[in-house]
Amino acid sequence: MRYTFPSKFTFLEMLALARRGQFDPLAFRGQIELDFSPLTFAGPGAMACIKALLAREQRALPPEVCFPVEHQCQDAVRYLERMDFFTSDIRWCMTPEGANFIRHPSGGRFMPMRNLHQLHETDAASREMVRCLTIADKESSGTLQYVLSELIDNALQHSDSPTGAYVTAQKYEKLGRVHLLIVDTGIGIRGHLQKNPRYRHVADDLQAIKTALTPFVTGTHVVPGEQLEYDNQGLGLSVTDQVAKRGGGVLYLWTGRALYRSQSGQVETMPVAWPGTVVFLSLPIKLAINVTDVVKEFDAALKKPQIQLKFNK
Amino acid sequence: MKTIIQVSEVLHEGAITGRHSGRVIREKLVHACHAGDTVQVDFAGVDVITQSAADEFIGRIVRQHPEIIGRISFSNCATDVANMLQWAAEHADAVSQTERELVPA
Repeated sequence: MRYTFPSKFTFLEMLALARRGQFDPLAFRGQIELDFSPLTFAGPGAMACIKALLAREQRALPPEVCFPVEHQCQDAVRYLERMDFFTSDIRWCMTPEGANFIRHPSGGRFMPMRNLHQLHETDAASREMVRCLTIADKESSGTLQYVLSELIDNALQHSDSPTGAYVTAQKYEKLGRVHLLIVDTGIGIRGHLQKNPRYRHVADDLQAIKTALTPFVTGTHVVPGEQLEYDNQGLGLSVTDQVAKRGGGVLYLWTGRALYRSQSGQVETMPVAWPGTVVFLSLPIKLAINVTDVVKEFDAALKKPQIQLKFNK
Repeated sequence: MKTIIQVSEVLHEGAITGRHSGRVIREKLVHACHAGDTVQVDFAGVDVITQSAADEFIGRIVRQHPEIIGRISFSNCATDVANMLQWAAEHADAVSQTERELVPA
């Protein structure tokens, strides 16, 4: 297949194209040719999604990914090089021009794309992402690291993605925003929930997103007496959703044919499916949110056992 | 005998933000308790612990090793860290409770 990028390819533009049926993730099959020639502006989130799709297809049937690099798109392609788009996990078939990029330093504004596979990578990756974004305010950077680690843990623990998760982040100083993206090409939220017999009734992707945003809901099913390496509380997405809502941010979740947007709280049906889950978060650089307080509110309906931990003064 | 676990020496960072990190501390603590010790977990230098990490650490101990809770104490906890640990301990059973009470089988 040949994919011709539009002149502007950001995550929101990618969603708009998908809504019109002009971007179909499942069409990225076989021999793939990427035409960057119209591209003048690329967002890291959208390109991380493309990278995840290429890696998924590469694993199934190793293709060569070609891209004719035209003069007018050199700036955008250089930017992609800085974002680590052209790494060796994909078998690239590059034109001579494409092989001669000048690499610029990445510090200060963005975190190049990272491919993660193991849960023990979460801490270091979330730290590195926050460090790359150089956010001076300690409370804001702590909240960002918190949210990132929850989302990365989610992707690595639940997606069963054979190519792991791709993560990236960028700070837009003039807009006062930070964009974070975590994408996998695994079983999706519905596939994960259905692992738990309690949630086998979840019939479609829309219902799956609504269910997954409910606190204490998880597809991780612990059989009494069985020891899992990791289990979980089913709070990662709920906390992230609340941080986005209270902090003036926006959370997008695209899994299968369902898309959730935290601003409206609505889940819509997409004409095309994402094979796995994409989480995109746009947050203000300054985040005055105490996540502990957010978490503490998730217990109204529960009977709490009387446990008092011993804290020494 | 009393064992002191310095969390910052185990993890070398001021934030505990992934399930894996919670697991590393838990395994160290359970090992010490099973050797018959009382354990003091020193959180000096730790500013942040996520709910997932706290659950993987103390939530799992409440679920799987409730008999050792009385032998554990915590020191030098920042307020948010103490609050999150306490919350995770109280909500260790929240998932199964939610499944029992709120979702039809």
